[in-house]
Amino acid sequence: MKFTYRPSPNYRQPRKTRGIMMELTIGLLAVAAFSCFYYFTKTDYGLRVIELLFVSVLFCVLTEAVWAYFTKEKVLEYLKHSFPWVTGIILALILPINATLYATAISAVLAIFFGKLVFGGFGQNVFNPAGVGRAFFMTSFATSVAADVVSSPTPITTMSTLGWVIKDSSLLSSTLSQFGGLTNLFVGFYPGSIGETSALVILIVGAVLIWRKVIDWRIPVVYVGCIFIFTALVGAMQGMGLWYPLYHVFTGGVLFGAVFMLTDPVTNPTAPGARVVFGIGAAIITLLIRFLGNLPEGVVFSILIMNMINPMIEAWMDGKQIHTIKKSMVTSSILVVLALALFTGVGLSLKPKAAEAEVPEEPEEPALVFGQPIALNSTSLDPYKGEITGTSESGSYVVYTVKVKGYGLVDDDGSHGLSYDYNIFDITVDPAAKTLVSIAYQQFGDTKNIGSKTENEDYYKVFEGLDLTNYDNMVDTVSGATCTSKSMISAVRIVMDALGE
Amino acid sequence: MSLLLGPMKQHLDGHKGLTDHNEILALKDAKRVYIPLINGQSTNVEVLVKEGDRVYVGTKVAQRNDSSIVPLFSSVSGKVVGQETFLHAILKPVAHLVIENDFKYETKAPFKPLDYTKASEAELIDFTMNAGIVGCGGAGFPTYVKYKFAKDVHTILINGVECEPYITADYRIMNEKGKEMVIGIKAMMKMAKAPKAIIAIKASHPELIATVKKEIEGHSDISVFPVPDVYPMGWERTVVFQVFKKRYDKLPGEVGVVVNNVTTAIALGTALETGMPITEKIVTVSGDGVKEPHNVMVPVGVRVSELVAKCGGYASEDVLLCAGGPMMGKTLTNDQFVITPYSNAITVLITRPIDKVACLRCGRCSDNCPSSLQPVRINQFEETKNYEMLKRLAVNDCIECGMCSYICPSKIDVTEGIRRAKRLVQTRAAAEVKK
Ligand code: SF4
Ligand code: SF4
Repeated sequence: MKFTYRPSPNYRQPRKTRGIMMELTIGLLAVAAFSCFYYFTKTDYGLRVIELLFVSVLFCVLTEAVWAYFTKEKVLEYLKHSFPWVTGIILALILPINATLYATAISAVLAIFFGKLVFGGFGQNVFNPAGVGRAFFMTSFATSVAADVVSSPTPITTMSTLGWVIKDSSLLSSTLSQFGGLTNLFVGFYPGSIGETSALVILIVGAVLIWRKVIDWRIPVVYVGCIFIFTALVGAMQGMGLWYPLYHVFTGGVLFGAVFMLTDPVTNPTAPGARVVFGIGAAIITLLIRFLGNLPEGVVFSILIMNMINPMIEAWMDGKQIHTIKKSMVTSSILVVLALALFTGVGLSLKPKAAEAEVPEEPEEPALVFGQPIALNSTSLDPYKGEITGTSESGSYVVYTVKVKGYGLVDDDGSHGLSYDYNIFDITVDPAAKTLVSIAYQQFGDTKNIGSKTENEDYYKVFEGLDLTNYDNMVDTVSGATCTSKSMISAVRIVMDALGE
Repeated sequence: MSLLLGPMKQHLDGHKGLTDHNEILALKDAKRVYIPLINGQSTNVEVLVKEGDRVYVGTKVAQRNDSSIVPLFSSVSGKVVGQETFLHAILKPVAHLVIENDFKYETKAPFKPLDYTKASEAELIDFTMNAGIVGCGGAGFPTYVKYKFAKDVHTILINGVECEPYITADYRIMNEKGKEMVIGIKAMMKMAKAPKAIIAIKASHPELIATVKKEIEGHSDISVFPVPDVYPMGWERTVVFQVFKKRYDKLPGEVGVVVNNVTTAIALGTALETGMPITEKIVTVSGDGVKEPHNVMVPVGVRVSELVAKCGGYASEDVLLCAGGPMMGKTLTNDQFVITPYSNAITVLITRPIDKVACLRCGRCSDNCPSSLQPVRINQFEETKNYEMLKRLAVNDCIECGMCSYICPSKIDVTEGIRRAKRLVQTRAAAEVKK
């Protein structure tokens, strides 16, 4: 007979940390599944979502495995107690769809190493590891985007280019319709970070996680509630309606951050009173970054900033809770009152930047890189179908107007989700010499900032003097705008075909 | 649950079904009983009999004589054969008076019955003291002390909330001894000059509530208050808050309440009626580590090994043996300790491995601590031996209810960390006083 000694209590609830992390993983995968669904059915990038998830999770796990190996831990046991895949999934879900796999891998390694391991591993980290990874990505790889993936402005970047205020009702409806309206912003069928877009899915998963007590309800409710109230106030100052706070809540990862990142128990306070203060603080900082810093990434930065001051909040609230409750009440009230005053001021001072928004800042564009020439008889031009819609004479030259499909329309159905249109070119030809004199856009229908690199005098020069009888001729494409370049080259081929007839 | 504060309590799976309806066994065949010469933590006990003396059920054999007076009684008839020192349920070696049982159970009431309706308050308080009535919630606090200093009491709160998992002894005895309970409550009301009494019972026990309601019929000043089935609802502060929505600083007297366990009221009622002190107890022997869980009527001083044998023996080769419930009961490493006048349960659990992981700072312990402490923070500062912070975190207000370890999903021994922190603070504070 053996009587084992253990300090009391000898009764434990069945719930385990591992179970909690598993449920969280399932919740995250549900969000990822929605994202896959969207990218598979509405775009060509479904596989990319899976690749990014895979690479991110793989490198998070590998980093910890290597660490465990070198710190002489049992690798498998260590991983089972450390849950690196959670960071991996979160990181993938907050990356933009056009992140390169290489940048994703590096961000994952840095997230785990600097976000978690240097602090002593699971339970010890000060910062949200995925947030750390995203910050590294933002500062180091923001421009290293995959060339073959088109990224388009997200709702929140659009809003930031508009100066966070839209008073003109036609601009409002065009801005909203760009993303399928407010309802679609809620449902989430629009491009953005991989996992952040569907408010609906995140809310459902969040509600289940709260009900299952995987996450505490206080921070998400306080955080989202504060963002709503503060932006409603800003909106009211500018005479904007209810759509305005909703726009703020649905976009830019507010809900994702609220449900999956701010609630990370390791990096938020342990006591309810302090959690409320934490949530209010995060809301204020998110909005300050949006309005004053004019950065769309307010959520990630606010999470990291709150993580940093979390030990201070926690220390400030330490004590017997029925006594410190007054302190948290007073602190919360002061914060809210200050925030209300602050955002009244912000609301009054916002000015529409509509004019700038029409013309995205061109000057900073890097010099164009030409390369990867394509032969005029290449079959890769075939999908860019088009027709000559008009000819006119200009002196001894003939000007052909060619309407041709661009990147957005090659799949015939406009399934890329944005409002794409045909590209229309004016191509001036010397009929006698059968050479191309000049080429220019009449209408640009592809993605701004990407395809529009081809709308450039320097690139036009590549075509000038082209012999329109030789299909073996090679024409350079613009790096990063291959599809639109092809559309342009295809237009030239259509003119050649016409001349040859 | 509020925005700024956790629930400070939690429903536990009580496993009460194991013992709440089967028969109450009687254990009468112990050859020897060992009356522990201790009350609470005090071993300042004067023995009143010598080796060879003949004693009866009810003979006063010893008395605690220090800050409070608590007599101890023989639980069988037979011969005093000496003293033996061994491990007691509080995890310390304690002297026990050994009495050889002659199995006759000859009874001699040590005092006269008393009619509470005629006796004065002072007489009742004296009676309670001489009858050795102690708190039956587990700590054995002398009951008369509560009444000696009672002032401006508006309600006697009778605690019939058995919140520890597995224990059903209180329910069973309430069912059996309704009449004595009412007499005890009435006497308590008189001692405290309290106009009313409330019996708190878990709402999850409707039949018991019905039985008790029938028992108190005709006493309009006694009522039943159903409370939710959560832990630690049986703790004074929690039950007082539940019933009166008031919190107090040190003693429930501050909000005009005296709290007594229902078993204590029954013991007092029995003593008033019969002149007999507590000599036997209903003890719940339960848990998955014992073959046939039962409530057992057992004389004070019987060894736990005999009690477990009565219930079919151990169900496993490796068990955790708890003196009391599994939450607050201490774990003993042998089964030779004995039943005291304030024991109510022995819980035997099969030892299972615990899979510990790092604290994920989930805050569940802080949400559910009935004292509203922050166990996770206390553990952090205990590791760095930060005396100032531990004081600020009010570690001494911990009642060692075990909730924080119970709730912890990482399976950390949170409560044990708090005990270490308490010791640290207490020794440091003592050292400071010396200076
Ligand atoms: S054991 Fe102490 S700290 Fe832990 S929950 Fe109970 S009272 Fe609170
Ligand atoms: S319940 Fe356990 S894991 Fe959660 S904060 Fe407390 S000690 Fe840490």
